[in-house]
Amino acid sequence: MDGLRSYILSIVATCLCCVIFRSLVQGKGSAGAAVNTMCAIILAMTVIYPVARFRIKDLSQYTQTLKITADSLADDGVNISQSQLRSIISEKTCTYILEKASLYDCDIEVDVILSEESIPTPEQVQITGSASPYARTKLSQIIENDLGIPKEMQKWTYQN
Amino acid sequence: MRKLIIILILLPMMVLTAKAQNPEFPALPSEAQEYMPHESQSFTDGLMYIIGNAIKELTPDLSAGIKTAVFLLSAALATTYISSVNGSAKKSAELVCIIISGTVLLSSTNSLVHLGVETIQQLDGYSKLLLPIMTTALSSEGAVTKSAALYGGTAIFSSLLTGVLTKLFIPVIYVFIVLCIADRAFDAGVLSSLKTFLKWLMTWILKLVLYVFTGYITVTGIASGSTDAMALRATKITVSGMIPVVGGIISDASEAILVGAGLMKNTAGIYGIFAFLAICIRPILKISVHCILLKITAALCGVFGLKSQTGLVEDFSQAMSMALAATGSMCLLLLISTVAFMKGVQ
Repeated sequence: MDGLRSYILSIVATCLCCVIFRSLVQGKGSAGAAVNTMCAIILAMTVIYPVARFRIKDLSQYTQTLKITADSLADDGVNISQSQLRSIISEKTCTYILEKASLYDCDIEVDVILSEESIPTPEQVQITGSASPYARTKLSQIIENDLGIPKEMQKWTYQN
Repeated sequence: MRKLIIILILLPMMVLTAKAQNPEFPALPSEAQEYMPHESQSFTDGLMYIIGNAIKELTPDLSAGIKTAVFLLSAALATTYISSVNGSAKKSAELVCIIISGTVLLSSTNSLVHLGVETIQQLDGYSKLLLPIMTTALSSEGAVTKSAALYGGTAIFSSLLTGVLTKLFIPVIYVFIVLCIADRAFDAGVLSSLKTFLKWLMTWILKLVLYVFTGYITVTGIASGSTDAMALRATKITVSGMIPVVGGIISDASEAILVGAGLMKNTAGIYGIFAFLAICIRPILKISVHCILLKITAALCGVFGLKSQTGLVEDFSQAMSMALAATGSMCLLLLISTVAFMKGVQ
C-alpha cells in the first residue's frame, strides 16, 4: 500500500513539475517544443518504470496464518456445542432411567457414560442405590432395550 | 444494560434446557457507547434510537458549517464588489479569494478527514474483536465450513480496505485538495484532468473492493453453506436410524443446541450491527452535513458569477464525498459480513 501511494504521489508531483516548467518556458518557439517532449518522456518514465519493476509479494504465509486462526475459531465453536450436546444427552438419559426406576420404587443415582463419536450415544451406565432383584432385572431390561446399553455395560453398586 | 438485553433474548433458552455460552462482548469506544440502545424492544427501535441520538447532536456541526458558508459567501461578495469597482484588480481579487477560501475550507476539511480515519480504524479494531465471537457462534450452530470461510474473507478484506483507505485514499484526498486549489487559482487544464483521474481512481478502487467482497460472501455462503447443510442432514439421517428412545433424546438435544446457538449467533449479530452503526453514525452524519452545506454554498456562490470560487467549493464538497465514501464503505463491508454470519445454515 505504501508503494502504491508513493507511485501515485510521484506521478502527481511529476505532473505538477511539468506544468510549472512548461508555464515558465511557454511561447519560446522550439525550446517550448523541446520542453514539451522532455516533460512527456519524464512523465512516461514515471508511469511505466515502477510498473515494469513491480513484483507481487508472496502472501501465502499471511493467508496460512489466517486459515489456522479461522479453523481454530471454528473448532472452538464445535467443541462448545459438542460439550453442551454431551451434557444434555447425559442429563436426559439419566432422567429417563430415573423415571423408569421410580415405577419400581428404586432409590438410585445414575451416571451415564457416553461414547466418543461425533454423535455421542449412551455406552455405559453406573447405577448406585438400592433396588429389589425384580426391579433390578426389569430396569436392566429397559436400559438394554430402550437405550441400547447391554447388560455387561451396566454396573450396579448396592448401598444399604 | 447490554447484559440485560442479552439475558432477555436468551431467557427462552432456559425453557428449552439449552445451555448456550453467553458471549462477552468487547467494550465499545467511549464516544460510541452513548449511542448504543439501552431499552430497545425491537431491532427497528434500536436503529431509531441510534439515528435519533446522532441527529440530536448535529446542531454544533450545523452552526459551524453555516458560519463557514457565510464566510465564503462574504468573500464572494467582497470579490464581486472589488471587481466591479476596479476591473483591473479582478484577477488578483479572485486569486486572493481562492487562497482565503481554500485556507478556510482546508481547516474544516482536515478535521473531518481525520475523523473519518479515526472512525475507520475504530471499526477495523472492533471488528477484529467481534469477528471471533461471531465465528465461534456460527460454528457452534453447525456451520463449521462457512464460519471459517467468512472469518477468513472478512479479515482479509477489512484489512485490505483499512490499508487502502488509511494509507492511500486519505493521502490522495489531500493531494486532490491541493490540485483543486492550484487548478482554481491558476486555471491549469492538465491539473483538472489529473483531479478527475484521481477521483475516478479512488471511486473505482472502493467499488472494486466492495464488489469483490460481496461476490466472495455470496459465493462462500452458497458453497460452504451447502457443505454444512449436507453434514447436518447426514447427522439427522444417522440419528433417525438409531433406537427410538436414544434417537429421540439425541434429536431433542441437537435441536436445543441448534436453537440456543442460533439465538446466541443472532444476539451477537444484532449487537455487532448496533455497535458498528454506533461507531460510525456520528462521523458519517457530521461529514454528510458538511458536504451538503458546501453544495448549497457552491450553488449560492454561483449567483455572484465567481466561477473559480464556485468550482473550488464544489471540489471541496467532492473531497468530503470521498471521505464519506471511505467511512461508509468500511461500515458497509462490516455490516454485510455481520448479516452473512447471521444468515447461518439453511
